[in-house]
Amino acid sequence: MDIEKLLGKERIEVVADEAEIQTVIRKAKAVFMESESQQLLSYHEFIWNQLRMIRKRWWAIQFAVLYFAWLFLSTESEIFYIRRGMGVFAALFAIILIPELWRNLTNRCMEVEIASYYSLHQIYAAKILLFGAVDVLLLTAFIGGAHFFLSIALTDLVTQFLLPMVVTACICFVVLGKQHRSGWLAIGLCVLWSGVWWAIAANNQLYSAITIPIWLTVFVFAFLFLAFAIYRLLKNCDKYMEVNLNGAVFE
Amino acid sequence: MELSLNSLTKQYDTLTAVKDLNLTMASGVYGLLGVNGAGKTTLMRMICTLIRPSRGNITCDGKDIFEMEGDYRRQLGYLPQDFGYYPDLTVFDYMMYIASIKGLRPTFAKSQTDSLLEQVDMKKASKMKMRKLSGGMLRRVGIAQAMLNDPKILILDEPTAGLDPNERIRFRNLISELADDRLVLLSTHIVSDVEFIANEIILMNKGEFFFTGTAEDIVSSIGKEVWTCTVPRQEVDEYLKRYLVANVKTASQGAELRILSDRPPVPDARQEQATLEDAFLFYFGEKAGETE
Amino acid sequence: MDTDFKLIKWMRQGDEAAFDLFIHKYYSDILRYCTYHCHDSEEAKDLTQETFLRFFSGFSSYAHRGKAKNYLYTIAGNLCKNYYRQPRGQPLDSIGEELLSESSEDALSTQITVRMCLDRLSEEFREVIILYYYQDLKQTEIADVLGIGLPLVKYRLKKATEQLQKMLRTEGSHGY
Repeated sequence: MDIEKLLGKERIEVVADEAEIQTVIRKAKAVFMESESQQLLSYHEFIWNQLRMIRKRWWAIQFAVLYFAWLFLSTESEIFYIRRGMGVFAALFAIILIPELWRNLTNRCMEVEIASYYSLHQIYAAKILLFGAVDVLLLTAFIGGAHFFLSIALTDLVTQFLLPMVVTACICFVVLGKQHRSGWLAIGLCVLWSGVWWAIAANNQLYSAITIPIWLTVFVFAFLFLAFAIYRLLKNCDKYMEVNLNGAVFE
Repeated sequence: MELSLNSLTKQYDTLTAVKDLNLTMASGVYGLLGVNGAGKTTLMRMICTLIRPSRGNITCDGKDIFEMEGDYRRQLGYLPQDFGYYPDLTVFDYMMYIASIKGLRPTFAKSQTDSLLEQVDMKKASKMKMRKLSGGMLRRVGIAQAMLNDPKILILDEPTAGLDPNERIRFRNLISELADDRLVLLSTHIVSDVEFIANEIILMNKGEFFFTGTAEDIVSSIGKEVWTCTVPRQEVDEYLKRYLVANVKTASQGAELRILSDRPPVPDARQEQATLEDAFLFYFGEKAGETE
Repeated sequence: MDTDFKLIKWMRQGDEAAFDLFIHKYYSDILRYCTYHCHDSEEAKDLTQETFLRFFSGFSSYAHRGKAKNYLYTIAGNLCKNYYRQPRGQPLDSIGEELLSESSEDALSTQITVRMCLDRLSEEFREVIILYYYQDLKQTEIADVLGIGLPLVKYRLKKATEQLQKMLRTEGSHGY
């Protein structure tokens, strides 16, 4: 007794009615749209949208800065110039953060953004996360390359390149979190810092007087302060409208 | 759905922008009428959670809106007076961006964007860059973005500012269409914006509500009559000093004045029907914004 | 078999043509499956429609792991199970003419016998028989649909086949 053959006789053939199928398609689309309208955009899809919003040209420019820094490192041999040059490149790399960080502000979009579901807090967090991820990638490649291919000591890279960069970034985030948060003020302060660092780097006596461990400690503190500045920005950014930009208390 | 202002106060150092406001709103169109500096924007910003109250609170169905966080903002649509935008985005991309921060899923966002742009008559311009839009077009995109999440609460701060009379009429009609069963709060210093579309009008000055009611209620509360009379041109200044003059029009035999007064200013003055514009003048002591 | 992956992706983005393709692809299979369970063509159409509607109402959170086809069968299976719980007439009464493929008496009596035996099987056994012999699913697919392990599928299939053979031998001897 072949069970398959026997069962096979019970086989049903169905004819699918095209009109019926079309009805199902129509209803399925409607049901899907209805459920889509009720559901929230997930956080990772929101971050993906933020990624698409960020203008990639800034990352391209940061890449170019690192490229020129690389050329500079590989061709320049005078330690004197290297130290100062790296400081400039470092500050430049961090200054490029400013246009995207200030974008909501310069375009006065913050009112609509604060009133949205994913509020300004999440938008800033997403931007910082994305920029942070890309920049860490770029910097790791640069530092790694400089160390392995150009044989530059890691401590040198940290104290002469990363340190001024982290301080510049600190300035940016601190200014962004303040009431008078002009983008130009940030750029101005960063350039000022750049000049200060140039002077420090140029002063051989001062530079050699401060030993590597102290430089590294300064770096760690600067990094911690950066984390703190970012934290404070995220905590306070929803208070943006408390005082009007023009200084007028209310309107 | 009910939005309540409970003893709402906002104080900046010495200045009290909003003083002890109490109001309950349900669905319908509410017109917030007042001159510049009355505190309208501060109030609206508080309702949109941009600013925190110094005292009192705002509740939505009994829950404090600041505690509700994202759940409240999901139901909110806001068009600020100073409507900023990203100039290099196209209209469509801008709408999709706002949709994403409002937490809308992409398929729904796209269908909402398409239908809203059509409703505000910007469908054909959807590929234009935002920076190329005229003032009127920008406002229309502004209201479209506010409606993306089909909000239960729609807050429009001076939405007709800078629009020409035709665009203002179009805007008014659009708001009437969108009212449905939403709570629409619309602030303006132009009476004609709200005169015909608002269920309730709220007069606000120096941070306080001093009258809430329908347009008819407000007009009948003036207590004075409205007269028109023609006077010789040289006497106009005197009349301006003595009476509350709503309007001065040059006529062939002098000047035609519209005056609010208990008694006729001149024996042959014609009595007129009081309008909301007259009420605005009466209460605010100055003329309402621009007339059509 | 993962053309479904692309279809799912396009449907997620709201592509109307993808909906069309997807539903056309699986409509007949699901319709046939529902017909095996409820034997009423109208009811089967309703259940099929309901299967797709349920699939799409949960589509926003659907994580495409493996085969959409199996998931459709799972939904349809649950719907058919609920259908069974409702009061319905005896299987013999609900034999529709469209279900008879041959008119000869022998064939007719064999069909009724097979159907009766199938109905006498437990729900779980009948399910694996239908999925394996009539819907032509692989055993791994059946495991996925029913949410059970492959060994259990093999066991149920073996036991169900044995039971059917025993019943049909008995019936057959009575029938002649």
